[in-house]
Amino acid sequence: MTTIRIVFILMSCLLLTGCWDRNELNEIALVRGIGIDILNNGQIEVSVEISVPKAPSGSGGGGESDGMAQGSGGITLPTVRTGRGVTIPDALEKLQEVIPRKIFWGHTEVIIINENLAKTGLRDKMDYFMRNPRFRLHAFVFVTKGKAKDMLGLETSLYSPSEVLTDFSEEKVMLHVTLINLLDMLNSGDAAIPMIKKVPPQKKSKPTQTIPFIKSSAVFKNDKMVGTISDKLTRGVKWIQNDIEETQVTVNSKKGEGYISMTLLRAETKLEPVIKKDGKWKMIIKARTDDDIILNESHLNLKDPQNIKIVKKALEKKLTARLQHALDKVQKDYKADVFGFGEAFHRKYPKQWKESKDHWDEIYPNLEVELDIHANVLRTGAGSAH
Amino acid sequence: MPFRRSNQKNSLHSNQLSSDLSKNIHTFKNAFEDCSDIVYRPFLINGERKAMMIYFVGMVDFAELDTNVLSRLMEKNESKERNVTQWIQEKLSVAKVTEVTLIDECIQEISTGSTLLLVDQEQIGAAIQLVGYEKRSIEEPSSEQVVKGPRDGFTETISVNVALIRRRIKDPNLKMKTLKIGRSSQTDVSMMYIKDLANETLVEEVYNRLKRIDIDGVIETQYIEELIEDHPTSPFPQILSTERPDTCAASLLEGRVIMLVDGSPFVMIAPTTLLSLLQSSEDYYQRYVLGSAIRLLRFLYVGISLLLPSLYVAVLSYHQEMLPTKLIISISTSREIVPFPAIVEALIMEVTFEALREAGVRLPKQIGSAVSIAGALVIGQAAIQAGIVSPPMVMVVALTGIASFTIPRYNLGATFRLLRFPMIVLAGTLGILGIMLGLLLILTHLCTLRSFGVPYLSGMAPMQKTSMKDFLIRAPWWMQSTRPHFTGKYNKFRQGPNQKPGPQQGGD
Repeated sequence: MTTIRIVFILMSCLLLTGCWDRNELNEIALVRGIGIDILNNGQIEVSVEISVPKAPSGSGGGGESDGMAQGSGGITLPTVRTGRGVTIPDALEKLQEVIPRKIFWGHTEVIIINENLAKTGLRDKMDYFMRNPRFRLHAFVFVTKGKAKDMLGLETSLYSPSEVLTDFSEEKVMLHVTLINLLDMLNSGDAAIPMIKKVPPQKKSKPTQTIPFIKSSAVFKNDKMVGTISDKLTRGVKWIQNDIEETQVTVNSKKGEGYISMTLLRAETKLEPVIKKDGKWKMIIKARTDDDIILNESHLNLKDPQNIKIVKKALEKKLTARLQHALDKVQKDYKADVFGFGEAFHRKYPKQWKESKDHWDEIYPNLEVELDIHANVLRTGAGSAH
Repeated sequence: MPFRRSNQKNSLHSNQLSSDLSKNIHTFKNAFEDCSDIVYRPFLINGERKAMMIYFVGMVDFAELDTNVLSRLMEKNESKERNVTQWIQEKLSVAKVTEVTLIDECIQEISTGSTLLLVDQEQIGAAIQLVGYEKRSIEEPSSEQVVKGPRDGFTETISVNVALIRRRIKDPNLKMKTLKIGRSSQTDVSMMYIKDLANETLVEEVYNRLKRIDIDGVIETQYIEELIEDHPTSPFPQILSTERPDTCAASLLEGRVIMLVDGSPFVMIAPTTLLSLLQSSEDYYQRYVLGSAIRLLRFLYVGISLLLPSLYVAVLSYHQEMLPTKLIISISTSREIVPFPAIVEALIMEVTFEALREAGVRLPKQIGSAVSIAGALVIGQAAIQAGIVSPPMVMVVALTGIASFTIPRYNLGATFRLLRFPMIVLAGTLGILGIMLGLLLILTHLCTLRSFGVPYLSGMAPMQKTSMKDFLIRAPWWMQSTRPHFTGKYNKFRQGPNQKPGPQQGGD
């Protein structure tokens, strides 16, 4: 009898209290992407791309045989809604007013930030995304020159703009920065975030019928955007960040009179901070790479090991130039430590770092950087057209 | 005989047989009043002494009775005087004849199919066991089929079943004790064990538990199971029942005790652990790699059968961020027109599935297939098109159903199927937290369970190194050199050392 009583009480606890934070899937609006713009009057405008599931068309029309396929199908239509306010949460509250379902942030894949907003500083704005536990820290962050809202509103044919951007980021050809990466970079140095742009639409289609793509990178000093670097320089930055995964390098050796293209198999970059005896700070960048030759337009006979050496030298030279170029622009011009040099010194020389931490802004632009690059040509390809 | 709430047994017929034949007959006619299938056959032994045979029609082999009893006793060629004992020794060419003196005994013998022979002027009767009722032949066990392995299964006749086991273990140490349980049914219940392998205290315990049963009848093993198990309120089966003599033989060799019940083709095995309920006999009959792989698959599907619907409900109602974006979007589009919350949808589908399963088992075969077709159509297509349930839910329910049938023991599968309903409610009210709570409850309960003193989770908890060889994987036979350990002292090794075969191991 007592058992029955206890079970009854326990069941009541479960069933009577109800399911207070239950959100049925049909009652939530899945946010795929967020765009943050700043208006002329200083107000924040937040736009969200939500997936509105289109109910399957039911059994009408298509005949009985493929009824199942019809019933299970159905598509989602990306829709953009906008809210304005003095802060992001303020704008989001306005946003909820125009969305009939509860906004669900758990599936936010991209966050697009307007350039003007980025120039005023990111830290304060990103604070909301870090504090609110409902956001996915693996959402990709982008900067765009125009309005972020327009990017989210592009009429991409198959996927939604957020999906397109996620796919681009996962290709890892350019920078890919998630919210948690951004947090790390803001805490330990300066940030670089991919910048997106519209692919020019085809002639006959509307200007919005196109997709966004990652064109360049935005460089941040502290948390304020200070400039952009091109895709070529971005690849140099990626080399130094030890983030290069797939790339083709084409060299032009004087002796061969023609181009040789190589594809990258492995690349590893190590940062070796050194504090010399005279107290001068120095950074050695050690890069090792193994490549395969995929195209030979030159006269060089690649069966000859001597010629391979020439190719190797040319590759090393090319890489050195590429890295140096990136360093010149980012280190000297923008004075932004997007490579994590400061972090490397911090790890290796914690004591000295503690003393000079506050002067890092002065040390960094004049830091001596040595490039130590070794390339290897592993294979010369399956066959040859020569 | 009414059951009293006291220990008094009423004994109406505990008297001796009388030496007056007509008085005895009167007693039996009284006892078997209104039993129209009883036969009283008076005859003269040697043409001079009055005698009477009493038996039930249909339980006696007439042909044998005629040639070996009646005709031999009625022969009129000698004049030697004999008493019953001598008649049995010299004249009755029947294998099993017992002398009976008590009226109670006589009634019991007649009831179980013996023929009672009473002779005038004698206080001793003879119970001639020429039992000849119809019985089913040995067939393949329908509830536990294997691809490779023996095809014989137990029948409803206990003597046949015992023989099936004896044929597999030809060891004089294979012992058997028989009790009659059930005041009206007088069912033979036998326990078998191998002396030296089965723990003596275990044997004693099983015997004592069987002995204390006082019930009107035992029709199936489940009657006994529920009367001797350690935790009668648990949803988990604590005794394994099987239809396969090979499973019984293997269990006997592991030191377990088996219990046979006349009239049921199922045999109970004790002690039973959760692991042994999750093992199929075929695990041991296939190559060990395959056996191990199937076992791993089975463990996976045990989890699915218990958890999949509740996880689905929890994720859809509380933790939408846990699924990949594309998956959740595809689910959300298919769920868009479903009017019910996920928990209601899940309960509707699960209950329908259980109903279909039950109908499929219970109905005659010809109609059964019609039900399954109608069920598949109703659930699979019409419900989705009507927008009452979503396609992913149908998939979840179907997968769960399949998963529960991968559990080799039907009763354990049913337990998991049953437990998944409270799990769905927990998932619908508390999300993943509820599922974890439910799992903890089940796990704690499993830890408290014992089967004849052996922890239900033994092998896992308490963990034994040797039992790991027969747990997640099934190690090859040459590695399984020890028996599973239950309690106390045991006969550890089951094979000689160095059994691993190889080119060097043969006889030169």
